Amino acid sequence: MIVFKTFFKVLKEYKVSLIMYLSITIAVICILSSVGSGGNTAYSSISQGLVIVDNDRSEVSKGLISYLGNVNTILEGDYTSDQITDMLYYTRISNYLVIPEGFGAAFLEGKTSNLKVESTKNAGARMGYSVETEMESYFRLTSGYLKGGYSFAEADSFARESLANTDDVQIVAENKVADEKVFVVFQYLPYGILTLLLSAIFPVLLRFGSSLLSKRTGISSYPAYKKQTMLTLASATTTGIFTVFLIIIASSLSGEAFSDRWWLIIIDVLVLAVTVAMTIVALSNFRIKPEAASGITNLVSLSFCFLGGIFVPLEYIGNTAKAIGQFLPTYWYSEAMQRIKNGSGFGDIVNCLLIQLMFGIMILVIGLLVGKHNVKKAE
Amino acid sequence: MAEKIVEVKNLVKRYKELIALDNFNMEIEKGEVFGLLGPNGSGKTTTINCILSLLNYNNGEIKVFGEKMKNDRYDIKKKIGIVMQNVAVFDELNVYENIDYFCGLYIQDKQTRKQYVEDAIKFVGLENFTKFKPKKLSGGLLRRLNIACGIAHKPELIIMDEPTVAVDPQSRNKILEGITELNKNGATIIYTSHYMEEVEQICTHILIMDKGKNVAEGTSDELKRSIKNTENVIVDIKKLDDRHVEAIGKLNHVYDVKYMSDRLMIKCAGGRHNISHVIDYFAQNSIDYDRIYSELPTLNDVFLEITGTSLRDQEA
Repeated sequence: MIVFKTFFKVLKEYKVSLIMYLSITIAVICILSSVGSGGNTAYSSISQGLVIVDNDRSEVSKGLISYLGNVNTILEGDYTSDQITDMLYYTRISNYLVIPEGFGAAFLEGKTSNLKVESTKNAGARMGYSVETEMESYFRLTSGYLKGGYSFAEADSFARESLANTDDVQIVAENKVADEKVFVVFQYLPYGILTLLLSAIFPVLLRFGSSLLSKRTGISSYPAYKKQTMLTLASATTTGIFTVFLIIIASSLSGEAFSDRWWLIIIDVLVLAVTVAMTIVALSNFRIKPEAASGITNLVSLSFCFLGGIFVPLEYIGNTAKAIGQFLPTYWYSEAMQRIKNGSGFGDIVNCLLIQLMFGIMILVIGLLVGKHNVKKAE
Repeated sequence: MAEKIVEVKNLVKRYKELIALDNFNMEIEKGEVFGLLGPNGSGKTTTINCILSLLNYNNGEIKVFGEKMKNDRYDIKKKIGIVMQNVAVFDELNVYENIDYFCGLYIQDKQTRKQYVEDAIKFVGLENFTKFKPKKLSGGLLRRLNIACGIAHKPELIIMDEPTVAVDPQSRNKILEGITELNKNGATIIYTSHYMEEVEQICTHILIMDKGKNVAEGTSDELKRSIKNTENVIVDIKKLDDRHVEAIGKLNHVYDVKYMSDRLMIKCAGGRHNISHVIDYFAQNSIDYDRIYSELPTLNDVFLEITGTSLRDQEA
């Protein structure tokens, strides 16, 4: 047990870097999860800038302008076509609307088939479409009330009242936000697993494996296999403690635990943690100085996170980076998360889990072979 | 006949083309402080590593405590302690924790270990530094910690590989006293060092090895008697012509004369009145000198005569 106990005594000396990485992880999860989920629980329409030219000046066109003015900002004034183009390009306005002459009369007569407000928008921007949707909704409701025998003033009033009702939208929006948060939080967890396990286990294993200390232990009556077993047990214990700790934090932040999909996510997290632990044991066989552990921790954790789609979603990663990323366990962790998010069960993510474990086993075998080669070389 | 603690017979170790140990033989008896000497690259560390089963060897036999030494002979290893040339301790642990760890590799029982660790701390005089991390210790204290880690489990055979390198005279004396005390308490010690006066002071038996071979062994006096040089006559003299140096070289029993830095070094082989012959020569030739005295050869003379004076680090 002396090796096991000493492992934790040495580990205690790295508490500052552990606290630092834990704080960074929690901060990253908190910041990115709040960005990812939006943080709002209620729907609200977004105010857009509009320029409207009313060539009709009818009751209908005034009603439309009044409605759009309630939910958007209408810019007054005469603008040249160049100015309009610039305003659209720099998104000061989302739409340039022209209401043609005779629009109101045709609308009241129910001739809506060829009736159109000319709308110019920036094709690449989403906001222009939402204004057009607002117009369509207003016309559809008003025309419905007109057909029901109401006057335009009454139809306009009822339509506005209906469009202002957002209760149903609010309920759907709340569920949607809760769904996203558990995935957003656990999506960033691998950074915590990588940095915490690397900064905890890696320098300690390197210290035990340094040539002088290793020689001194090798000379002793403490069997080499026993030393290796104790170090493996201590590494596994550390991995278990840190992973459970991170899972508790992530579950608290996401507000979800013990649901079916939560269990699937936990399996994904545990498999990644085991893979990372195996990777660390493998790396510790590469005659690295303990002083280099900090640099390697940053290099490995950041490259695994960026290439594995932890910080940037997989669909935004370039093809080359994606091709490299497929060799990393974090990529398959993200892939499994994506599948769980899409409602997949254990059977659908099992291959992602196996690929992660295979990566760990493969690199562990390489590490052990390198370690054996180093021992032979020393002889 | 005394019990043999270490027996090395016809040991051969090759590193590709290089023969590090060439049919090397060595026997160490119980209670000896055995000095293992040799120039750099002579095979001392290779011998020690083979004895400890840290290295495989090509041929020969090694017995420790009468048993064939193998890597998995933990019962034998339990009785061996090693103090390495380079300090090998955990920077993250304090003095007590370091000694406790290395003692714990041999002693499982907590109570016994606690007592052994405290004994080791007392033995090396680190009582006031138990909570200190190695980086806070001076070079001498660090060496003492290194020794404590090697001897805390009270081994019967202690191997000390240059334990006093880069240590001030006070700490060196403390360490040498400690080694003598360990020996008095029953431990057999293998001691390697380049400091000949240390070896002469503490070693009861000395082996000189060169190019992987045992070239001489015996007590300090036996070794001194085995060489050609029996007496050195030294003269402090300001000026001396080459013809006088040549003439002195032809005196009876004189076999080597060197004059440099106002000092004349005359090496004699045998003869009883060598200093008188030199004084007579100066008197006959009216040569003034400051001081003349005679010295018996030291272990350093023995070492240099046996192994030569060329620099070994520069040899291919």
